Amino acid sequence: MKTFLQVIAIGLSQGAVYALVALGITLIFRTTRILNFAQGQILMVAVFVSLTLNQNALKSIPLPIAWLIGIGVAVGLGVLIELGVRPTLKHSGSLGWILATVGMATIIQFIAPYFWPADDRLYPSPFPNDRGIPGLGSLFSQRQIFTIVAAFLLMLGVDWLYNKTKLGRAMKAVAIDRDAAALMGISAKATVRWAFILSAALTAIAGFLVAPLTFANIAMGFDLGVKGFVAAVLGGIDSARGAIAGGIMLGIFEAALPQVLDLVSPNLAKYPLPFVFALFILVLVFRPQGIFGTAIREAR
Amino acid sequence: MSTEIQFVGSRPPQEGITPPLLSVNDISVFFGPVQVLDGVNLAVWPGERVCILGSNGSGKSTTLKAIAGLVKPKSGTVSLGTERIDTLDPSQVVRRHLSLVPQGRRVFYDQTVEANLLLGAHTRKDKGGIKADIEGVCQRFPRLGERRKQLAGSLSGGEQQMLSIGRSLMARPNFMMLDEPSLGLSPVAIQDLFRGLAQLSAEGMTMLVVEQLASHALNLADRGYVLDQGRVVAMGTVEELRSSGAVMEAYLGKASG
Amino acid sequence: MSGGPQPPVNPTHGNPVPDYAQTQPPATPQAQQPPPVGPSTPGFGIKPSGVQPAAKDQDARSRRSRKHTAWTDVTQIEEEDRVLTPSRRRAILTLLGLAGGIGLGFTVDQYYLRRFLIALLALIVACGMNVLVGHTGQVSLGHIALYAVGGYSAAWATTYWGVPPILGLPIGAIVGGLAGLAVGAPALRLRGAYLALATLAFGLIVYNVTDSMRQTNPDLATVTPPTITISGIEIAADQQLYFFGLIFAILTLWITRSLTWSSIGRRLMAVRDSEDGAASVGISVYRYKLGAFFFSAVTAGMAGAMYNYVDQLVNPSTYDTVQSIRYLFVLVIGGLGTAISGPFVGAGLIFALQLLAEGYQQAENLALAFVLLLVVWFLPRGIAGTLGETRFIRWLPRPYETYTVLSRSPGRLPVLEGARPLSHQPAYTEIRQPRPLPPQAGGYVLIVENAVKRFGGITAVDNVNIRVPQGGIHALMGPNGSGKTTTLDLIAGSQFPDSGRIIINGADVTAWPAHKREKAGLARTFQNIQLFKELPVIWNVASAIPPRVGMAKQIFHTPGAVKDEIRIHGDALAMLEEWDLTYLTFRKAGVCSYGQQKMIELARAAATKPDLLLVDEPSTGLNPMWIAGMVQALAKINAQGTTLLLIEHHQAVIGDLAHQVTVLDQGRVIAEGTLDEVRRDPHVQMVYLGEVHNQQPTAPPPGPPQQPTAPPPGPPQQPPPGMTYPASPAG
Repeated sequence: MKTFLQVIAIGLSQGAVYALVALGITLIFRTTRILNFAQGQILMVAVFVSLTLNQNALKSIPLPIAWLIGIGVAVGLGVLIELGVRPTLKHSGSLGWILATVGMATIIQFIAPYFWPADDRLYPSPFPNDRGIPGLGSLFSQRQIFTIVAAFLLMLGVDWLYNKTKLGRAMKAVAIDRDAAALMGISAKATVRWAFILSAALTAIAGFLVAPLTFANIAMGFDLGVKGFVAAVLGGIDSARGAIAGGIMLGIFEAALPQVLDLVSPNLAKYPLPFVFALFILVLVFRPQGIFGTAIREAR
Repeated sequence: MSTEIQFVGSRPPQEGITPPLLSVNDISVFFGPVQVLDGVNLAVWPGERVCILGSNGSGKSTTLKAIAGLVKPKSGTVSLGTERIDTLDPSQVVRRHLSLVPQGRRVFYDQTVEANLLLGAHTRKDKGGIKADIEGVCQRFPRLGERRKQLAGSLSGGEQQMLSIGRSLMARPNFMMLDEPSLGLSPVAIQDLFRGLAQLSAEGMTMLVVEQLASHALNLADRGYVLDQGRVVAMGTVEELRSSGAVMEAYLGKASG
Repeated sequence: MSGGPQPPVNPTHGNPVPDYAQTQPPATPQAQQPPPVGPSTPGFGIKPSGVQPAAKDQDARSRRSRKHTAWTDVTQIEEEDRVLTPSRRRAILTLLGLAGGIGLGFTVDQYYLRRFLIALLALIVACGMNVLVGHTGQVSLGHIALYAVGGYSAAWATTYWGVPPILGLPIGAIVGGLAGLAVGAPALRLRGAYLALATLAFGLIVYNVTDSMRQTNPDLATVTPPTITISGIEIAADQQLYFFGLIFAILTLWITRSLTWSSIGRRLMAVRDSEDGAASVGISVYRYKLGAFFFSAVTAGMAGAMYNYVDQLVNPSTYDTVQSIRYLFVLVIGGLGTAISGPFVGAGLIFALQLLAEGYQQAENLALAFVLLLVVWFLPRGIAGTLGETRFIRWLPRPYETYTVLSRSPGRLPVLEGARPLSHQPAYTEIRQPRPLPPQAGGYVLIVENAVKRFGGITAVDNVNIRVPQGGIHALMGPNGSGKTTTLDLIAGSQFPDSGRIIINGADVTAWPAHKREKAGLARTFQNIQLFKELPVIWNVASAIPPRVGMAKQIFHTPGAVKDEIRIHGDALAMLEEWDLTYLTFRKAGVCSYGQQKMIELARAAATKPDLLLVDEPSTGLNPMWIAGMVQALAKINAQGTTLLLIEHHQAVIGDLAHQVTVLDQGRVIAEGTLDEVRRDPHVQMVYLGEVHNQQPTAPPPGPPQQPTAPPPGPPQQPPPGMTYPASPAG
């Protein structure tokens, strides 16, 4: 049985990662009103590219540089996905882009085993000698704090992008009315491209933050992608702050759930996931705008 | 179905003397298998007010969209001055000071009036100038000034139309195209609207207006074109068009030829 | 600008603009009411002369430019169809399919039979998903969970609870269906991607639960179900199982096909194309969606149970998420929204993939995803859909979309072979007696009582009262944003008032959902047209005509159901004929012109035989000629006994039609009375009309004395002959 504070600490650091993935999802949604079902796969590829570069037998590339290259590959993948989705947006209805992103996710997921091993891998931490934060006891490790701070800073950045920059205003305009935006001189193509690029970069960073906390494996993309959707929907899918709130909520819910379930039955406590997804369905059905979101429009 | 121009009034006075600001040469547009424009020609000289009339589905709006770059002609060219613009992205066309006020207003309904105006200035970088222009638009349309912080979606139709025009003005166009500005507006809003347009044109704005309400359009314009089934079937000064009967015929949808 | 007397040059005379003088009716003996605007005149055109030639020109143009597809060989196809009618074509194909299916069972060796059997299971699931995704437009990413529920429930029941193995299939189907209802009931409140997310989450729940049972209840997680025995013979060999599967596949195919061509299928597709439009003709959108979900869940559960006998082993990894989307993938590759050819192609693909990627599950999934992307990019209608459209294989029956392009005469749609509008007693051309009003209605078809609707801080409708007497035409006027459309939405049930009451035909419908109000006698058109865009025009109208046979009969395609279909199509054809829309019968509604679409929408609303019809801005976006046609159409509907409530800006239109006008501003009623009365109201002039117009294009409709509580007025007054619609609403 963990203490309340421990639960909060774990929940915060795990939630920060979910929040970053959710942030990437909302970036694309805000601009295009589509949900990129291949988001988690971008994360997985970024993690494994950087891992392979850093830990190859011939010549190890320093972690920060491996990260940068990983982000680069993720961005490339994001652009590819954008190109793959684009033809389907001509048709009305959501089926086209759902299938296109799910299809691309499937391709990435099944190509990955040809490049990388299927078992769990240790991912190097930026803090190899992590002794926790002085004064907080063993409550927070350095990487947990690093994760939380990084997520918060990135959230602020995205929030600033949304509200204060030309690109942010353009993104919203493109989402509402592509043609009208074009008549204002906003290139929908470029704006959407930027959304995918930024989103892929954010997702890659989320991967680098989460991999040292857990392990790296090929299935992590799918899991984190789904959790990202849960977090995005929980907080309200249209805003940066909502994504962060949703991520943290999900993280804490997930950390606290086994403790609560343990009171009912120790067996249940081992399998909290169905409850997480059940909560997700409930929120989707009864508050599709998210717990904090105000009336936003439904996905197409 | 006629393929001939049925009525040609006097040529524009500047023709042959100065080059036109906008010239549309023989453009054809297809939507899937259906041909919407079939070799449309028109030209607009600086400072002119030109209207395009025609019945539903005659291709008026498509002509404007083709000029603005929203639809790509399959053949033919569109030139602004000496530059071809039919291959450009719509966002590039705006940068050449040619704005389209789209049909149905198309304001960004979940953003404030001010944010809408800022979006209109997307192509510009001069912060001070943008600020001054927002004030200018608010003076021109005082109703917008009063509602600067309101969401555009909460405005009335007439106010949204003003916002749509004001938003286009923010790009500092010297040539404005308006697509059915009166659509769905109440009589009093239509009067306001055309008063505003008359004022704009008095300030020297070149205008190309597509309008369902022929009477209003003819009052505003110097010259007009009549489209039928994707072709220009008549052109001339508004007086000529009024008296030729071709306007009313095409406008009332009589099967021509 | 006054729209009064046109300039002398205006060729009012001798041009095709209809004037009422041209359409004066001869006396119609059967008319119950004095025939007002000539509604019952035989051959009376809704559309004035002049439209038709123009429209035909357009027709010719689009036909010309469709050269590359189908139009060149219309006559040839017509010739071909006479010998090989769709029904004969279908019969031959069915026989061939049956013979092939049975023949395979006897000739092919075990190795292939087993793979055929798996393809048959895929066919069953794909058929169900086609109804849900293709026809109803609801995307599910979690159907494997229903497959798993069916499989596990059958396995547990037959293995541990002593249920005879033969009952495994029905148990799987029933439990799968119930699970589908349990998931669908909440999830179907969502649309598009949100529904996909919710179903994906459900799939993950089931997977995680079964996966956790590996540790907690290994016996339940991994089951070896017993084999079926029928009268002492064990059905275990692949050949026996194959025939077993074949029977169920044939059953599913038959039901799916009947469903597609029945009223149910048509209404499901209507829901897909426009939920608001579907609700407006009385289709319960939610129930139809749930029904489609249930059907697909039953097929998935049944296939899941069947798979038990194939593999003789059930464990969680049979049902992982990837499996889930495989069925969706093959269906999309095959062709969504086709009757059964799409699932067929999809099942064929599963078979081929099994042979090609033998043992390499990953390679198989990769290949499938690649093919899916290619299809999504280049063939949005899937393989079967595209082949059917281009008629690459001329022998195959065409999907219904193609009929809409190719066919211009009745008898083309399979169900239409017996339908003939002329021999049929046209139900809609008779003057209809309005339903008697219950006494508590007090003579009013519509009563809006103190209706209030707020959005956030804005009061969109503020204490509005409207009373429309039976047979009346009432118009709502007012500036944009004055609450007209919201008021209409409150009456139609698209939105619900915060306070106040809506009474239609004496029934308090304030809390009724939109589709239920159709039963109270309400129909409507929309400001932004809500047609079923992918459906042919005739089906747009037919979907508004309720079937008279039950669902079960339709699903099993009984002779009674077929007869009823013929009746519905006959009525729809008669309706189109009456509205002069026959030339559009098989055109896809989405490709019709704006004016045509408005008219079709009106025809669809009229097909419900409404007592009260709400019309939102009938003249907006139309040119004067179409407006004239629209006014005639509305007058005609009114003459048939329907009460009208219009939103309209065009003063001349209101002048010609409305008995009574209510002017709204900022959600409040600011004036009531005849058009003339409200036009003299200074408040109305200030906020709405602007400058005072002393010139009037029309004599005000005389109408009966108008007070808010006036008794029902008589039939609409005939507008003065020679009336045209000038282009200025300020007229």
